[in-house]
Amino acid sequence: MNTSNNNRLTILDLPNEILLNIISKLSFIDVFYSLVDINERFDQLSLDPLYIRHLDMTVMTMKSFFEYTFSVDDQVLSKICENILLLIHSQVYKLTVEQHSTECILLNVSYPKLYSISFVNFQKEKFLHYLTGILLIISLVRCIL
Amino acid sequence: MAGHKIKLQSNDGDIFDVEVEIAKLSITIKTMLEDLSMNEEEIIPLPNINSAIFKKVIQWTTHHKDDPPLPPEDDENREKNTNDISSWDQEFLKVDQGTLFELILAANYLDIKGLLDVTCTSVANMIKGKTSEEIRQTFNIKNDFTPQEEEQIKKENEWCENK
Repeated sequence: MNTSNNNRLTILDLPNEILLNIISKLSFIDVFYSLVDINERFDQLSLDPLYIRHLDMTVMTMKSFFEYTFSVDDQVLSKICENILLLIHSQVYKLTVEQHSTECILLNVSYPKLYSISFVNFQKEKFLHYLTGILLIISLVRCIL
Repeated sequence: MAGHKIKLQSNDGDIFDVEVEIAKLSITIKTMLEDLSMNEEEIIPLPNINSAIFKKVIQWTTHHKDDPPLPPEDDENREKNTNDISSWDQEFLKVDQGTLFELILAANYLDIKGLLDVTCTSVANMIKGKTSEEIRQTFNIKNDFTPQEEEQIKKENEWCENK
């Protein structure tokens, strides 16, 4: 079926509203891995502050029915921590982290607008360890303020 | 009203007889018929859509006319699972990129949420798992960064190119 005219449409002919719709169907990890550094327009769309508000670092990868992980691939994680966090950290309202990404996400930058943080898939001891650390920081901050 | 038809005209002049119930899956057409009380005998022009794409749209809406309405989307429980395209839709969407993007624009203009969703999901699936360079190749996107910016990006991306 000859459906296209001579001037075939490309993805760049789609309006931003539709590109954002497409982006919204991808996880943050997919967006940061695939769409940042393509061209300026995609950079602007994928780092859109409105979209970034909830930074969810969990991806569920099913290896089989019984075996799955919530962790991000190491290389993707380091790209996010080294390049992308710096661009978006001040916009993040809400964080969801899992054990593997916690240190990189929490220790590298600050989140001045953060009001909610969720921990997913932690081992009990590790979680207590992090929680103690965070409570310590909060109480220190309280003391200073 | 079952079987009652209206006439819709594509931008290359073809006139399509479409069942009202199917045509009304397009919120744009529904609004024209109901709110603007257009006469159902009148031919409704669709200036943004050519015949080939409109045929595809009718094919899709005819297959999906009895679907339950989509639940309203909200940010908290937005589905991130993008592999959930039904096998009929997958077959339907086996088209070249130009056609896929034309379908997206048509679904957007006609305001057919289900079709817009599934076509956007299909593009999202094409993006998943590809590096930015692969994305540029897949979608034939020119790199508009300056050489200096490019050098910086290369440096940042060394980790993934040395795989």
